[in-house]
Amino acid sequence: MNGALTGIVLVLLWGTVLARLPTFWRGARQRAMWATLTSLALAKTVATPGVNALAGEFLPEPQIIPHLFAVATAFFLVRFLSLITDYDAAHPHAARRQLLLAAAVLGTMIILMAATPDGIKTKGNELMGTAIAPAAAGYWVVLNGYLGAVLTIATALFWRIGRSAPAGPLRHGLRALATGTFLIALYAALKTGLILMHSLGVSPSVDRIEPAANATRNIGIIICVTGAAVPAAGKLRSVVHAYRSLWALRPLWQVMRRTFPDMILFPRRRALLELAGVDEVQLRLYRRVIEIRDGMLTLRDYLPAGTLAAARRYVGEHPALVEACGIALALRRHRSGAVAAGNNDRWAEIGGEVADEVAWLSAVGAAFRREEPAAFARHPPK
Amino acid sequence: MSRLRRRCERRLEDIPVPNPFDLDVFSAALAAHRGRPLTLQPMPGLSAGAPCGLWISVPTADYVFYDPETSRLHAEHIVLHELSHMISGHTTGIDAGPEAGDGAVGRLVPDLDPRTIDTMLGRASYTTAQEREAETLASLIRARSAQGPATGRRPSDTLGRIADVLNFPT
Repeated sequence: MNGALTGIVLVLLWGTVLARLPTFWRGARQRAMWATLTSLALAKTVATPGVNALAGEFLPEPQIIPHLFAVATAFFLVRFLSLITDYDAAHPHAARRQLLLAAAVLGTMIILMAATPDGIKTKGNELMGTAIAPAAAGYWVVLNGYLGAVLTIATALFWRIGRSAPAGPLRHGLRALATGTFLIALYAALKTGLILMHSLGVSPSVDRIEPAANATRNIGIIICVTGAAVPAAGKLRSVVHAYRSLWALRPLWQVMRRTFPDMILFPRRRALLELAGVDEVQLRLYRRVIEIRDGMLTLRDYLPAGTLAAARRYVGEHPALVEACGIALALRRHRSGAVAAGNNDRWAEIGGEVADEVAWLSAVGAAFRREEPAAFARHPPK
Repeated sequence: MSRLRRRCERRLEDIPVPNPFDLDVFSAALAAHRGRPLTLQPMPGLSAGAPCGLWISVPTADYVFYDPETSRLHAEHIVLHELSHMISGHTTGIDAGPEAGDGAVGRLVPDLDPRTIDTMLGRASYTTAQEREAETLASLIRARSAQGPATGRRPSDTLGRIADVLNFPT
């Protein structure tokens, strides 16, 4: 079971690391969150037998590399907690002290490892099968003590913030984070307790305890990663909707882009690269609406009075198709430089929200691709 | 573009954007911040052969003219573009010399002495750095306010900060 759970953990962790990569540039809090997840993903990856054996070809004592990444994970988690609680504002040297503490933990672990005659054993049956050296017991106490303390603080904080969150996905996500960190802290406490019991001469059977403990830790990580993703689920829906809207506006926007290239603010390639994030897609959608409207405002000079009434007679009571006929005719006149003399028609009036514009312009864009607008533009009313 | 975006984001950090967006509220706050009256004046047909929006600044007041013969959102954006020039502190632009009284200024505000104009900027295309900055800032203001209450502002409490990190508006 643990092999499957480890696989799920790795897929979830690396998927989240990649998905959150654009947030790295959004600020210190986002960076701390991303660094926490990345360190954890590295720790879990290096802990897999294949990768650990590969690391052993280049580094001594590869079995402790996951522990070093685990300390890094805890350090970044502490930084994240400090930043979200604004602890740094009241304690200007907090970041340096937290770094010194993590470095002290790492230094102590390395000294204790060097002082352990046969090196640090990580598998339950190896660890508990023979007498444990005091230095090795100290190693585990320092490692799990640091991790456990950080996770306990995180559990308390996530639970407390979750209580003040409005009912819904955010509260569920925070409670899941608290539950997940609690389970991992429980694992650290259980492991430390067993090692201390063993060093005092009591040797419980690890054959049944170890798989259950590892499963608890993996389930804790899965709950944490899922909890962090739950609040964003609603946003994901709106992003998917925004991308569908971008696609729906594309035909009309492409016509305007080709006709009025000076009105495009973000070059297309740059927009694809830099405006692909969660928030940026809304900006791309807004720009697409404005750029279509800029084009339509210019085209109004090429839309003689009476055009839209003639289009209505031509296609019937189909407002979007009538507007599309007007655009097709104005584009044709613009290409030939035929500025309308006297009064011009006005484009249809719609609601003032982005959603109103997107719905209307999408309908006009779809109508524009039909045969009627081109036919109407070829034979305009006299 | 990234540098321009970052500069606009920094400017936005100090600007309270109403949510849901209300242009009158936003303009009133900007006028109060500048300590001078700000008049938004619809001018049908403005864009015919001219910019579709225009900001004229005189020592005692600001005037923003815009073409209302477009959709409401677009008209609002045209005004926001001119307000973004103000927020960004842009100063150069269309020649507002003494002859300007015979042109656009004379047509828009016949009572105004062109010699008193400090700044005059219009929205025509994005070929200059100032125009790109004003257009980007205007887009950020309106696009952000369309997303939800927590966006575009720095969250002020722990719940708001963690919600921001988890990409969830409170």
